[in-house]
Order: sequence, then C-alpha cells, then structure tokens
Amino acid sequence: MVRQVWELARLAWLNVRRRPGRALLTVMGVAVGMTAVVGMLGLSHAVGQGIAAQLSRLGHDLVVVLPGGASDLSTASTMELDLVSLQDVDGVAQFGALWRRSLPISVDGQRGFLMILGLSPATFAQADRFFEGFALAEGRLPQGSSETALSSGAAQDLGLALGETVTIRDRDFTVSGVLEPSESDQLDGALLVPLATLWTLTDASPTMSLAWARAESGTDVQAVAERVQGALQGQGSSVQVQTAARVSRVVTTVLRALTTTLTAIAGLALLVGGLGLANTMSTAVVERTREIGVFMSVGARRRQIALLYVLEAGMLGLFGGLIGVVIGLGLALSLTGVIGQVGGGLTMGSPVDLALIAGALAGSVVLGALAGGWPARRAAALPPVEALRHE
Amino acid sequence: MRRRSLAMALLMAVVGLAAFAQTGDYFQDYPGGRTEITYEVETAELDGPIELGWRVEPASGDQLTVVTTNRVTASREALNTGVASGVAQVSTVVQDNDAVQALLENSGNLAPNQTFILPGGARFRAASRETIQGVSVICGLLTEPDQEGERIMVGVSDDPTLPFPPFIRQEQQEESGIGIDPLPVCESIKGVLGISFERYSVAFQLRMMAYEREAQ
Repeated sequence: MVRQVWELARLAWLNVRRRPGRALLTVMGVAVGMTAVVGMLGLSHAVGQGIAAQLSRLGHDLVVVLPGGASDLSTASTMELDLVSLQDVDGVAQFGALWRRSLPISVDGQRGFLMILGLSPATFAQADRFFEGFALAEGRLPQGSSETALSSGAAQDLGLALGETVTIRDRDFTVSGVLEPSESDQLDGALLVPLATLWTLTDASPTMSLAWARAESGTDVQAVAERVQGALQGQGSSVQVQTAARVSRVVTTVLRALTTTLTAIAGLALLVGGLGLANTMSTAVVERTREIGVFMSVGARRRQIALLYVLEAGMLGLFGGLIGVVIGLGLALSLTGVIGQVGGGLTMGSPVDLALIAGALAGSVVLGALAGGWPARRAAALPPVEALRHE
Repeated sequence: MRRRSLAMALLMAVVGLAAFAQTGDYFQDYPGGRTEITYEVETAELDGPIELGWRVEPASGDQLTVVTTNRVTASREALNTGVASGVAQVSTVVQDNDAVQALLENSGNLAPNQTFILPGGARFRAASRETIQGVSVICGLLTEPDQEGERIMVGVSDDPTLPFPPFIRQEQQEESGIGIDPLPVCESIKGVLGISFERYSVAFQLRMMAYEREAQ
C-alpha cells in the first residue's frame, strides 16, 4: 500500500513538473493566501506575547496609581498623595511611589538638567518590575540623603564613576552605584535618589509620578484596587487606578477581535488561492482524459486515479504553503520590528510560532487535497472506453 | 532602540490624554490676573498655520477660567485626521520629549552662551537673550544624538504666565532643497548654527504672536 502511494506520488510529481509555468502560478495563488494568514497570525502572536511578557514582569498582584490623564511617566503629570492611608487598606501587603522630574545638575564645570528618579525604599526593592533591565553594575543603591546611583547613560554622559561627586540643585551627592545599561528610556540617563531626598531637594512633598500597592497573596487584586482607589479619593489629586489583570483583559479582548478580523480577511485570500488550485486540477483532468483512459485500460483502479489527482493537488498546496510560511514569517518579523519602533520601542514577542507553522503547512496540504477532490472524483468516474476516445 | 518601561507600556494601553501646558506646574504656579496669548502653530501636515488662542482669567474664589481656541483653514481630509488641535500638536512636541521638557522645567536656570547637558545625551547650546512680544527669552539650539538629522530651535522663558515656550521650531535635514525658511525670531541662534551647507525643512513651529497681561 505504502509502495503504491509512493509510486503515485512520484507520478503526481512528474505531472506537476510537466507544466512548470501553470504549477508555479497555482502555487503562488496559494502562497499569497498563506502569506496573509501566517503574517497576520504571526504578528498577532508577537504582539500578544510581548504584552503578556511585560504584564507578567509587572506582576498580576500589583495595583498601579497614576495621575489622571497621564499617558506615561511624563514629568508634566504628577499627583500629590499621602500614601500612609494605604497602610490600613485591607489586602495591601506593600506600597510605594516614585517621582520622575528634571533638576539642574553640575559636574566639573559642566551644567545641565537631567532626570532625577526618586524611589521610595519599597520601590527600590521592586524596581525591576517597573524598569526593564534594572540591575546594579557596581556599588550599591543610594542609602543616605547624600548618595545617588547613576543609570548607565547618566554615568557615561557625565563621565562619572563610583565615589565621585555630582551636584544636584546645589547639593553634593556621592555616586554610590552605577546601574547596568537598560532598555528603558524612563530609566536610562536618570540619576536615582531616595524619594524623600527628592522631596527635600524640591520642597515638594508628597509629589509623585506613580504610586503602587502590592496585594497580599491570595486576595482579589481588583477588589484591592477598588479599596486603594477609595482610600486615595478626596486627597485633591485626580488619579487613575489600574491592575495588570484589568489591562490584560482589555488587551486580550482587543487582540482577539483584531486577530479574528485579520484571519477572516486572510482566509478570503486563501480561499481564492484554493479556487485557483481547483481550476488548475479541473483543467488537468480534461487535458489528461485520454491518459486516464490508458491508465484504466492497463489495470489502474478508480481509487488510484482519484488518489493520483488528490496527491498532485496536495503537492501544489504544500509548495504554496511552504512559500507562504517563509514570506509570511518575513512579513510578520518586519511588521513586528516596525510596530516596535513606531510604538517607541515597545517590547514585542517572536512571531515564530511552531504550532502556527505546522498548522499552516498541514492546512495547505488539506486545502490542496480538498481543491483537488472534485476534479479527482471526476477523473475516477470517467468510463475507460470514452476516455480512450477523447481527443 | 531603547524601550519604554513596563509601566509606560501598560499605561499606553489604556489611556492617552494630552495634558495642558508646557509643565505640570503651570496652573499651580500661575500668578493670577488675566493673560491672553495668541500662538501660531505650523506643521508639515497643514498648508496654513493653526492660530491657537490661550486666555486665562480669574474666576470666583481661587478658581481660574481657561479659554483655548483653534482657528485653522484646511482641507476636509486634513481636518478629519485631527491636525486642527493646536494644543495637541504642541503637547506632542513639548511633552513627549524628555530633553525639551527638562529644558522648559528649568528655564529659570539657563544662561546665555553656555552649553547644557539634557536627558538622553541631548545638548542645548544657548545663544543670546532676546525678546519675543515683549517677553524675555533665551534662544538656543537643541540636538539629540538619537535624532540624527533633526534639530530643535527654541526661545525659552521662565515667565509663569506662558503655557508654552514663545518659540520652538523642529527642523529635519533634507537631502536636497533650496534652503530653509528664515528664522522669524531668535536670530542669535544663527551664531550657534555657524556656516553649513546642510538643508533643513520645518517639521513643526510654534511662535507667540501676541501677548497681553493684566496683573491682579
């Protein structure tokens, strides 16, 4: 049986090679459809993976509080909150805050205005959740009111090393540590000090760009978020309270709708490719009617004739699928890069999904077999004598 | 390419409102009284300028009344894409750029003829002190290492009644062209630019056209 299928597959391959131009056009029709499917689903996979990874790093137990109307950690958006009120909120295990603002700095005659990141002690401990790649390269985090840790970019820009002095708003700070280079543009280039020190420097307690609360293990984070919002209400600042889970739900819903729409559009392209394949196989049956008659007269069974055409169509589908997968992945990779850059360097996942590739290739073969099914049945149903008479 | 922080990515997924004014402290620092300013905003997307009106006047108690107006004449397509909002246009250039934001937040510490280090490795080369519509400004040139082929010319003031800097122009380098629009104000920046054969086109320009002030 296996040998028989192998022989038929060889024959089908010879048939494909007999009309290379037509075969190529048919394959390209399937490839275009498959490119659209793989490209769109790969892109959707990359976006979803990237967002999931970021939310996972932030942690699903975190409640984030931001100034109302803020779209990022812009220094133009701040809020004034007394976080002590969070101490008594049921379900809150830990809380903290950070403030990002620019201040005058000077080093050895150089002057400028750099971003100062003020972090509360708890925020220092959780900093890798907020800033991608937050890690000390050398030294330690600032412990007193006259110490600062420099981001890699700031250390490089100011030409400063561990133990040297930088003046921030007329006050001298010793460099206690230097961070590893970070991918976060909110962190890189900044000087880090304790939040209380930044408040003293600016006489602006209790201003902050972001506050957060970590929910106790096993508690309903959304319920904690509502209690946090209640505790902070009425303090004069407009705030928005978010949880990773809530954002994740919103993003998942949007992504699902987007993926469904894009897949439907790409599916239409694939359908057109499949119809082209069916048309090619129908034409082949008409052109090779006499040949089918010869096969039957030398003992070929109807089942074998049908299988021959199904295999030929499946081959064309597979070749189209292979080309479509390669181009589709290239398209998804390019779009992922472009979106990552346009989005300010947003982290994206990989569009390469093995399940998608396997599914696309299997789908191509099935599409080919289905498209070739009707012409194959027609070929198998031909009366041998009439087929032999066919001109 | 550096990446946005996780928190930032999270926020961008759910909110996106442009805040008013060049710094977050504008309304806290506003000295009271009545201020009426007219800006002209020019962008690459629009053929004509947007006239942005900004009026702040005292209301009852400690309250302030803020009136902003936009006057723009453009094709239906351009208006449909939302380019008509002068405040949104200015916010994009002013608030989305750490270097510009740091410069504006510390404008009181600027001095003429000096170079200042700014976030992201940017540099501000201050030229001279000039006046725009009677307001004293420090003019200068801002360049950023990761924005090659782009330069920003600004006239910065520490006047707390101004919602936006009196002058800001973003230029992009072109491979060919016949030259650039002459500077309408802040001519001292020419001294910082020096002699160059590079061609630039104006991508964005904000310029204060009128300023009226009645103190309380």
